Amino acid sequence: MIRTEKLCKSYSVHSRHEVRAIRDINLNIAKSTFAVFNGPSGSGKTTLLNVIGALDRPTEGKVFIYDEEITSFSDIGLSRLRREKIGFIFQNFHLIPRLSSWENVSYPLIPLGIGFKERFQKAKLLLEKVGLGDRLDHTPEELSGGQQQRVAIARALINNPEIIIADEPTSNIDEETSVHLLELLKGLQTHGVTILVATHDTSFENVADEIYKIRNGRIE
Amino acid sequence: MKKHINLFLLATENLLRHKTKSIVVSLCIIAILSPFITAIAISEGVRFQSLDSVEESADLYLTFDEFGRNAAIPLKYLDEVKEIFGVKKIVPRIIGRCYLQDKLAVIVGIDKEYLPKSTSCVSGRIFENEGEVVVGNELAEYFNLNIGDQFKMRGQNIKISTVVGFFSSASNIWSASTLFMPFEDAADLFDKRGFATDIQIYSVPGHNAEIATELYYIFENEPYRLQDKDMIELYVKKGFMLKEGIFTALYTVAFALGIPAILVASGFGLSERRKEIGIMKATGWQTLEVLELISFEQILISLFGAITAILLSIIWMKCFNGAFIAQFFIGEINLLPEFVVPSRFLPLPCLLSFFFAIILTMVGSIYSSWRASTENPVASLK
Amino acid sequence: MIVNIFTLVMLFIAVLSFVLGGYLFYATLKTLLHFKKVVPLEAKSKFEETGYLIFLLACVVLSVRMFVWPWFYFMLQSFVSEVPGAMCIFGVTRILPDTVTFLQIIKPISFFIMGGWLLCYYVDKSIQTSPLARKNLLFLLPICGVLLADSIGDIYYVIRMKPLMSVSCCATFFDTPLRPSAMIPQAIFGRDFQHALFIVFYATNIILIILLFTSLSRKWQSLTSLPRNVMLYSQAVLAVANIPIVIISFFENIGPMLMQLPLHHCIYCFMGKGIVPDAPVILGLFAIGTFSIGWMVILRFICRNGETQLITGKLLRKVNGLGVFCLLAFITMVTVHLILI
Repeated sequence: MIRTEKLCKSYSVHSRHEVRAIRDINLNIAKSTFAVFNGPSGSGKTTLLNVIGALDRPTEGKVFIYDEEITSFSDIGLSRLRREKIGFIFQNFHLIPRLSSWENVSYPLIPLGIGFKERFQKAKLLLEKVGLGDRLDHTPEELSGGQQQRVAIARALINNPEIIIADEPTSNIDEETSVHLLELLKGLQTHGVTILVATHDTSFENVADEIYKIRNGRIE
Repeated sequence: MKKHINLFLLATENLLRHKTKSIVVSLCIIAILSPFITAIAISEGVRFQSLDSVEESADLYLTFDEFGRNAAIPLKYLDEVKEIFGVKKIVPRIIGRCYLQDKLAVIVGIDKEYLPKSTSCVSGRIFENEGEVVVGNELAEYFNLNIGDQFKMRGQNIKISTVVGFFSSASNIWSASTLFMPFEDAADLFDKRGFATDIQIYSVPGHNAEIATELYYIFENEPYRLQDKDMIELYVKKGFMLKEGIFTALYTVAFALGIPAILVASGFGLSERRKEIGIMKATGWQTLEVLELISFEQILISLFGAITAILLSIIWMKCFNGAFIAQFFIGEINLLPEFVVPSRFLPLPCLLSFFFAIILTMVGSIYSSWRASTENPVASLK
Repeated sequence: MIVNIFTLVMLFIAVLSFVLGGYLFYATLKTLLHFKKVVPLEAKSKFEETGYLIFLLACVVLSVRMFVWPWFYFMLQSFVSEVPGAMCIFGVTRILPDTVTFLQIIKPISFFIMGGWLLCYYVDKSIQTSPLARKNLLFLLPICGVLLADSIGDIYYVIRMKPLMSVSCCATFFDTPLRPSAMIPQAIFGRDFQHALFIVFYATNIILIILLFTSLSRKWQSLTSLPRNVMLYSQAVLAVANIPIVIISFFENIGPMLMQLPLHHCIYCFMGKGIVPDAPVILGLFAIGTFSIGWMVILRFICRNGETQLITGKLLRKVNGLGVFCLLAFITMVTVHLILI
């Protein structure tokens, strides 16, 4: 389902130094796989997930999702892909501070032309699923780290994605929420969702189908 | 369609949430537009009253010509002119100016039966005897005049006049600066017996050409000048167009400077929203949708700014009487006019203000909108 | 230069659109020169960013030029009192006639081609791979040229316009037997051309509306069994032929009848004097209806691509629908007016 060919990504720092974040990455991840990417800080895990998740473009190489080469997509094509097929869970949650929980969760539905009531209902259902049914109107500053991450999870699931990409999802949350998150992701996997997680958390490695160790931008 | 409605509603919510930026940009727009709308409203108001006066006046105006300008015409030709075929009525007038204390008043010397129809006596009576005057009610208010009061006027001669009545007029400027007196009294005051400033000729429709021909024979060797109502109307229109044009020319500079001001003001808050836009794009929003959202916000701000500017202009006229601006269109008045300044809020200037508001915000915010909407989500989420 | 609010606003807008149009031309040319079918992946992002800026500029310039089109006529109307002898806009057009004619022709053209470009841009952006990017950029170059010419024309006209001479009333031009608008129909139909012109006016417009309906309805299409292209190009040819027919009909028949001045053939009096208050709406509907057909041709011509076929088809239907609505509304308004006289 997800395939990469000689994927490379370099960054130019102040036009003087070139940093090669990932180099010659070849992956082949089947559908409904729970894949974990492990590696020290700066090894390129986040960069790899950003490129696979169509958040960024590689310097060289190709990415295929369902045999479609997404690296040839325009900006609109990539946006559509993120909207329809991919859900992101970030390390720092990245919730919009001035919006309530349900508004944060339903934000991706606005450009789809979905009406207010329907958006609210969908967001409410997902927030209840992650155990935050009583926190619909709370803004992020009124929630704990674990609760914020659960809101972020609900947001990632709002469009029924086929791929979930989680970048260090448990590094800023408590253990209870980590366990809950892992159960949730495993549950999604059983429904056919492909899970890609970058993490140091060993509990994720214990349940993963595939573990990729990344060092200096390469997969070992 | 639903998508666009959603984006529009979200834009409205965002404006309410990001109050600082909305207020700053709106204030810029209001500061630029409000004086402009007020000025055009005053110009239209004065023009409308002027054209009204011209409309109810005579068909032809006869004067002498001196140095290419209108000059006083002797009354000896009055009877000959009256006899011309097609002439219904002739009205000689003396129109002059003279200081009443520190204020320059317009003196109109005319026979009482020829007083303009648009003026009506609001108290007292029309003058009947020598030495009597009828004063505009706003002018009377300015000098605290009452019926029966006497005052001195100095033209070429000194004249003591008695107030016998106050009039109001469809033209506010008349009520604020004019007084009517018998024709002979005005001739005395300006020491111009046997002359009139002009002779108004009321004609049977379609006879202006014949009257002009006859006048040519009567005034064959005299430097006379004949102007018809259409020509006067044309001069009035041209004059106001020019004034509005000069005001707009000055204002165009303000508009041009407004664009960089809006550029800076509209950029406020967009850097704070970098992260928000990064999150939006990471969760599937397309660049064009972000652009559409930002454009809706700019349009809403500009519409709000334009509407507020129009409302403020109306308040400026109704409550502050066009202070600081009226003197651009009405000569010899103070910063704070003492009479009700006429104004008309017409659709075209209001539509123009909407257009300018939108252009100002759209042009001024092109760069900031583009930069914000094309933000790389990875860079903005760091 | 005549100084009034209309000329100054016109000058401001013309300078603004000249500057924006100039930058748009520069940005488009620069992007086109650096355009390669296969670009490094990261360079693609930069290219797309510039594309969005070009789009934003194009939208702003189009909005500005859309305002300028009716404002041009307001400005001409404001000159009537300035020009000795002028009774309507016609008198004003006697001064700098070539420039005025040029501006009157180029304004609808610039509106038309900008609209066509925006539709092509919409199609391009609807496809994931943006296959029409280069074509759109190439198309934008001549559009920028037209916009710049329009802006320069406006600036030139506003600055050079002076009431230097006395002009004749429109009646001396439009109400004579040898008026230009009568010559061609008289040559074709003879002396009693007005009756025949009336029939031709209704015939061409009704046939055009039927053709548009036919291409809109799949059922009708299967009945006619004409290839889509033939249908579209015949609509285009008829629409182009319809333009002079409608214009001459308005000069000769419809304008005088609606103004209830059967011997007065001045189109400016029809448009501008408020005798027929919705005259601009009637002509505006005709313009947009005719433009719609042109836009369909542009879409067919530029968006010929396997990837864009589906989206182009959907958009063609929508534009077709717009054309039907506008032309139908146009003919209905004219007919209702004529009945109510």
